[in-house]
Amino acid sequence: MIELQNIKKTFNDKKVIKGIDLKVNQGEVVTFIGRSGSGKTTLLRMINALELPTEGAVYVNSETYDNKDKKSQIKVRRQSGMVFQSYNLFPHKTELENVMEGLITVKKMKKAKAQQQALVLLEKVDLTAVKDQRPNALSGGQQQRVAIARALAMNPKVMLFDEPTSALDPELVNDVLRVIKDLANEGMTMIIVTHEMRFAKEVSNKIVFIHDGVVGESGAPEQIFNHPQTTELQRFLNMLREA
Amino acid sequence: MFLNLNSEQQHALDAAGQAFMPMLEGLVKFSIPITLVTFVLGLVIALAAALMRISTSRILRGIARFYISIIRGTPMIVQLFIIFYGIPELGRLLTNNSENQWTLAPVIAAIIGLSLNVGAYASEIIRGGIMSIPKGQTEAAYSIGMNYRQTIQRIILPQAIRVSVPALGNTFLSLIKDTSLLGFILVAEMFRKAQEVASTTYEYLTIYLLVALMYWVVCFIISIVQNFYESYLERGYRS
Repeated sequence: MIELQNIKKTFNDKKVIKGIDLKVNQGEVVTFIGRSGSGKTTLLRMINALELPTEGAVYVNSETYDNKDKKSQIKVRRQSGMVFQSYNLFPHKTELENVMEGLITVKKMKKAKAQQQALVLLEKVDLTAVKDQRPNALSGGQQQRVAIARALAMNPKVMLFDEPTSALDPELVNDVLRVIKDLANEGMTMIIVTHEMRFAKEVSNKIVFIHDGVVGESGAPEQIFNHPQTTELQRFLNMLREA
Repeated sequence: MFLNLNSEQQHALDAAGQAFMPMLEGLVKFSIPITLVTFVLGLVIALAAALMRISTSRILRGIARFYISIIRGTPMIVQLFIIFYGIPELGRLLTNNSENQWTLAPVIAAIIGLSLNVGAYASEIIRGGIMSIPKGQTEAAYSIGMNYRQTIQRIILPQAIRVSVPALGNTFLSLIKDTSLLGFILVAEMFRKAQEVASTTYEYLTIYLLVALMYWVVCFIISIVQNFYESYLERGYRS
């Protein structure tokens, strides 16, 4: 479903990603963990071409892109849905319009049909009650669930989550995690960057520990969390336990 | 008369009365219509220039920057003179025929000159508005599959315009006041009408205070409308 081949990324002479190969199969939930600055978010963003690799190739659902070809990037991008740390809802549109936007602009759907589909998705994230409100009137947790509905509306083959709960108040985190868990249970292929280790353990088939721009260690959650092999991963997990 | 005026005061008052109707005519027939037309045209130019300024093409960026630099770096009255008095001579110079004058009507020259001005100043405002929209908005639009044009049109511009409205309101007020320069290229706008009466009656103080008052009333009304429009745009953004 997703294949990253020898990905390297340099930002102003600084090597952020130093050669990563990764495969994600259909229906798998893969979580990237690692310290801030380890490159995990950058790697995630390459999967929908918001960030372009300096070297290497990205395949999503057998589509790939060229750094100079915007059209190929859009094609790859349309395979996946992205959920951002800071939600990034469109503030000038209501929740319903946020979810409808891609259907109307990108899929050229008729307004009535788009509205119907958007309502189904808002129902799924339990937010039909606020459909006519603007994002600013909502809590962070509600905004993030709208953002998930907005991404799902495009019927993506893969969902990408970039620290979806990091900006949320603690009491709102669970509502968002529940929605993500539901998606996992439905068999959605997902890649998640998160600091919520308990959640990562519950929801993932595979954990990828990224350290200093390379894959430090990867495997099943049980193995990664209970039997870490490398000292880097052991140190990282200890640090989290102390916090 | 109810007031007991001396003859000097009576003369001043008569001059004001004599000036009022021609001034109002200048305002309604020229100052206001020219302002409205140039503001719309200017915004179209501004939008194009702003998009050129943020484009990835170095040539487009260069053209826009040059245009803005010329307009902002030269006095408007000089630009108006070049357009009105200068352009007709282009015909003579280019065709080597002294009879060939590409004459522009004063109003047309005025609209060209003012639109180019509004375009340059407002483009910087709109560009600022566009740049003030967080990068996450573009990324979110891209992430649902939008292309650059769709992103600009549906996501960035609606938000950027809202941010720009207060500053564009100022541009509009400046524009109304700048129409007072158009008398110098023979447009019969309000200030020119005032000058005509002032120079025949010698009542400079009265006439120029009257014209100032009229500009102020117009600007005052516009700023009220602008306030309403701003609060209309703000609706729903505050929780």
